[in-house]
Amino acid sequence: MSAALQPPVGLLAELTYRCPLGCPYCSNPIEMEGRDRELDTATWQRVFSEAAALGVLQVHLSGGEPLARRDLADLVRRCAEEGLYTNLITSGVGLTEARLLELKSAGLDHVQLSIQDADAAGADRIAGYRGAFERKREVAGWITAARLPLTVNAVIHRANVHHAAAMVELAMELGARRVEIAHAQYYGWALRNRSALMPSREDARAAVAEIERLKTELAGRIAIDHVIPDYYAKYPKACMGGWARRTFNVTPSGTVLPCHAAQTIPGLEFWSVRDHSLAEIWADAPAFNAYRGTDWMQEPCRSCPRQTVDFGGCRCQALALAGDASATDPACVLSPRHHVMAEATEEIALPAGEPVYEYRRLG
Amino acid sequence: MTALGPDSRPRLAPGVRLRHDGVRDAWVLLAPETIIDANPVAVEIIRRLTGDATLAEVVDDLAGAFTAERSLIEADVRALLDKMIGKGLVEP
Repeated sequence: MSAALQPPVGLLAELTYRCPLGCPYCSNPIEMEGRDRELDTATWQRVFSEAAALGVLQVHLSGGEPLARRDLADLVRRCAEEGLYTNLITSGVGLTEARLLELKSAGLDHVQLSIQDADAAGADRIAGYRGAFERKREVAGWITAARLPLTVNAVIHRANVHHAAAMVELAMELGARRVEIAHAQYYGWALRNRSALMPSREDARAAVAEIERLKTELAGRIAIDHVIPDYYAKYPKACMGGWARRTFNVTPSGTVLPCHAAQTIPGLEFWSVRDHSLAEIWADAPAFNAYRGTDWMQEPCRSCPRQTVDFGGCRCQALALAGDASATDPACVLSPRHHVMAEATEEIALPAGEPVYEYRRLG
Repeated sequence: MTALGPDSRPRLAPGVRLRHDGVRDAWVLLAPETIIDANPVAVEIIRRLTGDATLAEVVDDLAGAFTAERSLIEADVRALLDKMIGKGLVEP
């Protein structure tokens, strides 16, 4: 490990790709491995111990739906024993109050609960699961009654773009102290469903303005974490806080990724926790070193004073929209390909009426 | 702006904890989706926020431990707690 290499602070553990919901913007890959390929309990526990020794402070237990793992409490317990801060990212479907209390006594620190819309009919249609909305209300009640801190997250797209403020109100009503409002990012399932998900520019703009206004208005009552669409920004987001710099992902089968979409970049060599320790992977896995630091950058990043502010933006977006994963993210106004950001949203014909989704499914 | 009286018993909010990071040899405050570096002064204050001790007791304890003027310590404590309450990290 070179002297300059800093240890990671965060681990996103995708415990399983199994999930009862079918959200059409799911961040999981299109091709998902099934239950038979999932890491066993002992291997996940080793991964968490290695992560703590490496310098990780927070673990995000995600999926799929992490509740689909029957050993979830055992995994939380190991994290807690290692001093790791645990965040359960869940749809709430499949939770019972008894199981929540079991997770809390295992040491769970925080719950992040997804909502799909501000009303039951809309939310259940987006999730492709009848009754999900009412279940989430119940789950939120259990979480707050257990005095576990609650964050609500919502993804914005055409079917709910007019309800952004109502979803913030719902989050408050559910007892959340934080709410994450993120506009859909178009890769994987969301890219496949783009014409059904993309809101009009005017609607997206209005939602962004409304949430920004609420951020100020509701300060002190609820914290709003707002992820706006890339095409509004002058400079790109510091995707992942810089490639292989602060966090990493482990997939259900044990592949270690610098970000959850990294496998969309062809030619990268990923290592697995089945073959290597996390310390070896963090330091030496070819995929981690491919875009680490600034040496890989092209112009205009190479001579840009912002190169250690945004690290050239998102590698996956650079590949998808500029055709080259080491190019400047086209979201940047300095990118010679910046015009494709606008074109990517304008060229899509938005069909009228109820959007028809291809629901996310395993297999 | 603070609602803190001398009899307040401030404590860390649920989901917020202070821990020593052995890998980096530093103290950090872990909170939902956030990691905050805690400087040595903040650490001394935060570790006394038990929910049992009153603000006055916290200040007395610090004044005894660090032989500094009580009014200066109280100003430091209030400044930190105001900030932390504003961020939802401490409950007054």
